[in-house]
Amino acid sequence: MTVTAAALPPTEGGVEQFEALYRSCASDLYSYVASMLRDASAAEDVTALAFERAYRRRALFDLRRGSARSWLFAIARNAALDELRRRRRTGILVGEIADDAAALEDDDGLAERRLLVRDGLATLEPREREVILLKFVGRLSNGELARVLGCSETAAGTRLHRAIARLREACDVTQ
Amino acid sequence: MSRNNLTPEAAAELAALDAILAGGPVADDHLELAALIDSVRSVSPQRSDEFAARLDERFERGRAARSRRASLRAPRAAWAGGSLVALVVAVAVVVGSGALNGSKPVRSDTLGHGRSGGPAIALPGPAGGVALPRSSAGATSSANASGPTGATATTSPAFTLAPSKVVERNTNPSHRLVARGAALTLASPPAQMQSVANEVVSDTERFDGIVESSSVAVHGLSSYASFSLSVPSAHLPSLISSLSSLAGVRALDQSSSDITDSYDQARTQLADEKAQRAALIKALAAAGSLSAEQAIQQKINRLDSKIAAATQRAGALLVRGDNAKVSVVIVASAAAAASGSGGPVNRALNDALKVLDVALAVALVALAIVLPIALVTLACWWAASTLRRRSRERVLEVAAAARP
Repeated sequence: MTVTAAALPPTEGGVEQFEALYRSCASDLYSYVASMLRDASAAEDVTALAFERAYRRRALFDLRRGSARSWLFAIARNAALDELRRRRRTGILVGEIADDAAALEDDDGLAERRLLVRDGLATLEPREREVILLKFVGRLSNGELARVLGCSETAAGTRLHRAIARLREACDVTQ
Repeated sequence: MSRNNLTPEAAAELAALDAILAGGPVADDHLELAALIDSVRSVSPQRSDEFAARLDERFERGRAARSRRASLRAPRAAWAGGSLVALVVAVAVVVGSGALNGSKPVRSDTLGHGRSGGPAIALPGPAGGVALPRSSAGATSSANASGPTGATATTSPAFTLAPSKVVERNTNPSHRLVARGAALTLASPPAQMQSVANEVVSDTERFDGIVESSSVAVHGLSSYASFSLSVPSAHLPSLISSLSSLAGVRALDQSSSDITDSYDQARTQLADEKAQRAALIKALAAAGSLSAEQAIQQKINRLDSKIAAATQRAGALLVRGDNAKVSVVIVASAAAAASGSGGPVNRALNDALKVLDVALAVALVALAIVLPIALVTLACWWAASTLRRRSRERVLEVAAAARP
């Protein structure tokens, strides 16, 4: 399956390829990081940091181990987890990101469904939410998901399927 | 069912999920899934336009800075690479020349001057040798008289010491007078017999020695050369080492003998005879008759002969201790010719192999140092990486546990 628009190796001298990767991933990457951190300011910092790290390490990128997109998401995930660790140590409290996406919808039914999904996502375990985000937002294949999460492809698929089931369940319950 | 096994329905749903994410057509069975994906993507936080602009600006700024750094890095990398290559070459030259020179004194023609592949032989220093003034000055010119081809030249020993110089030596008991000698047989290709013979003379002079006699005959495979050399004992090991590198070494014999006692006896006898002579001189002055004077004079004359002989003997012993005798024989060898021990190309090849050999040894030593350090570093990196990964994963578990 091809899910990456910019699966070009950002090798040494491939600034153009890296720029293409940046253009295609920046928005999704921010969405994923912000959903993980639930803090817009920190998500901006971590997103920028992930791109910087990726650029510095682009010579280490190996296309055989996955697409550039999954490699970038793995870097962002590590940076986000480091940020969470730092917060746990320093006891920083953050508020939820203000979500006005649903309020802007004209279709009441659609808006209501999205609110349900948002609330359902909030009730998931962090690991379940993470796998949903990597799949739905990051658009990673199951193999790439496995490499990012550090598990087998089958385990990644199982975790994803369970998380989807839990999300549906949470949406139904909240409904 | 195993914990990680997917049911066919689950696998089908995951396949449909991938298809939807790839932008493919959505089957009726999976419309709900497509709507779920759309909802999740819609409720995910979106970056603001302001942040997008800032990130774009930061990206452009970083790219410009990096291209500036890259333009500076290229010449710097070239300098670093050039310096590294120069350093490696310098180390190789130093190490290589050190290995090739061995214990020989530095000379300008080490790598290309008539050296064959014969093994260099290092001899121990002259322990117990006597520090004495050398008396070989002025004798070297007569020793270098070998004819060019088939000619035979012989020179006589050049050790003639004045009696006054003979009797004094270091009286420290720890200094022993040791007579040293060596016999070296070399095998050289016939075509190089003359050049090797010339090298023998040249090396002997370089180590302050003299050629007492020499004989060089060049007649094909029956070519033959012999040398009788005398060299200061202190330089004997260096000379043997140098000579043994001129051609293949067939044989090397060394000898040493302590002549301190003989020398001391000769000195004692000389002192006694001088004392007797002094007493006879006094008696001569007090002699009352002509016949008595004649008898004393005869005794003095006999004593003078004895004193001269004793002086000669002590001087010879001193010279033996001071200078080592080296006998060098060079025989023609077809095998040496066939093995290519001669010829500038082969010698250069041998030298190159030696340099490579030394370089390999240096590389092995470096590897022995670097490898353990690299392994320890790798282990530390692996441990730190594992700890960091676990610590990151624990964050999610802690977050789950902290949920209300």
